[in-house]
Amino acid sequence: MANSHTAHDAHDDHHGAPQGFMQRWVLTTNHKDIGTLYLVFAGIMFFIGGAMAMVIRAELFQPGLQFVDPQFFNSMTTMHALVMIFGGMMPAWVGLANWMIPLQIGAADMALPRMNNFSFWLMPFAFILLMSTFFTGSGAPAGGWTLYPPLVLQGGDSFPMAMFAVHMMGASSIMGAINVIVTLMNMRAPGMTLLRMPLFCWTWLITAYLLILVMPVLAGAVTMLITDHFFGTSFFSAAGGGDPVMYQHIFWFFGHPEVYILILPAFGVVSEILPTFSRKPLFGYESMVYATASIGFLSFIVWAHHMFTVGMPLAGQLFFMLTTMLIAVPTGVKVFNWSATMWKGSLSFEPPMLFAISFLFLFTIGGFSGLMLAIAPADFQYHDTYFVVAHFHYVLVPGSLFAIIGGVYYWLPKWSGHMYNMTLAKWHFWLSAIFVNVLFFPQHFLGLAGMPRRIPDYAVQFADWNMVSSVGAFGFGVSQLIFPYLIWSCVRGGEKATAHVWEGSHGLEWEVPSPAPYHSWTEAPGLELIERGAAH
Amino acid sequence: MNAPADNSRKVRNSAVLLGCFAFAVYLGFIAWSVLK
Repeated sequence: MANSHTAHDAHDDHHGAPQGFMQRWVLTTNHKDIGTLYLVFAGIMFFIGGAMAMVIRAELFQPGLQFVDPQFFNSMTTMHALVMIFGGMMPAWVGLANWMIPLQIGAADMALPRMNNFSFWLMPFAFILLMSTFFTGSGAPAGGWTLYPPLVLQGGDSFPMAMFAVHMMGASSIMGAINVIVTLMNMRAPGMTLLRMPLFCWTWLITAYLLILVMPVLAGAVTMLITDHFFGTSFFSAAGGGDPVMYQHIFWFFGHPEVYILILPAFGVVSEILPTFSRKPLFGYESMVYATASIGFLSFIVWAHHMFTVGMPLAGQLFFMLTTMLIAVPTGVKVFNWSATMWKGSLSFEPPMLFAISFLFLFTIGGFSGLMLAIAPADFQYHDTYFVVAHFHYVLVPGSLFAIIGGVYYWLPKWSGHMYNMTLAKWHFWLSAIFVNVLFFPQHFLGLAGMPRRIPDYAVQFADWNMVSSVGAFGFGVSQLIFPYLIWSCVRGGEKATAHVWEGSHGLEWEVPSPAPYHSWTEAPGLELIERGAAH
Repeated sequence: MNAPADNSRKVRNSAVLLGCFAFAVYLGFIAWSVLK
């Protein structure tokens, strides 16, 4: 089968990638090209959002106001979050999904290729609109990424622009999610049953359902903000009989599943990488699927833990505290399974494995601080402090971002057909892993000592750890420059990659040649290949 | 050999269904906020 596939690919050359730039990149319906577009877009956004983080850490290097005025500082924190979440993380995961899902399930492409193109091309326009708010008289949005009224309604000209940008990003995400679900439910090769799918496909399937359920909720909240501002409604205005706290409920009904949208595909990538470099099947495949589904379900009934301090009945606090703690159970199942996968494995430490192992340790730190925050009475102390900042950055940076980087290092030889410079990639890992801890660990201490988040200046007792944190931030920021250089040089040339790339790799994506041909699985793979890959 | 079945109808129907569901959630939340 592998041979006949290779032969077919040779035949494919004369109707391979279109030659013109417009045809190839702007009008493309090819899942690999759209995946590449998403990943490049996300990479650019990561560096733009990273530059904003550098401004934040430069200002916080010392107490007092040094570089930017407070309004601009608030714009930096708000825009950093919006750019990183909606422009970096989400498109990066959609990019990986586009590249890998058809390859992993033996499909020729995504189910809805033209909608796929539209989903992508909404994103640059949304972000041009969002970034252009910097040039309005009122400056970019500065009320926090949560867009709470009434503060957000005071945003001047930037308000409608940011709202429309959020709407466009939401539409793009919903279409992307529909595409993933329809592909996974209808396009699997004969014999690729649901419980034979690679974990990355499973986690993405559940993520896509979360997206379909919550992105319209965000869109609804944003629509109501717009009508409150421009059409005289008072959904969230107490003066007109509305309720500003209701916005917080609606926002976090979107916002908490959103957190899992950012992390579930990371679980999938880690579940792919660890077995490969442990040379063992994944421990507890089915329990991983059920744990992911449980986390997906629980993510809908924990939202108010973000707002313990707004004042809610004791029963409400108890409910949201206990449901939040319940999430530790399926997450514990996952961490146990990953550890058990490595147990007595024949481990090797190539760059994807290094990122996956550090994910395991550092994400777990973020998980534990999350448990601390879940304790309602304790949260009254932690709420809106740097402890929260430390917590969610541990989950998102050495959690989600490290999984994205690990995923790129894992599949890059499959995409480009070349191996990359392993030594440099290991440098990238060690510098990132050390600096990310220098950057975020001291923020736990600052938060517990009472430093509030989203402030450009602070009391002098917080000076030392802020300086350490800023040094870590600059180190982490500079280390990331290795990554685009490495990708660029790998795409341009290097040692030829084999089809299987890694000694212990299993799964359909490793059965096509490297680089993956422009059209793959035009004939569905045979049962033998699927069963070999499914021996997770 | 192993030619994928023509499931374009299923693909279209499930995509339309999911799109309608998303739009219903959007309108449903706004309606709920109005009535609340």
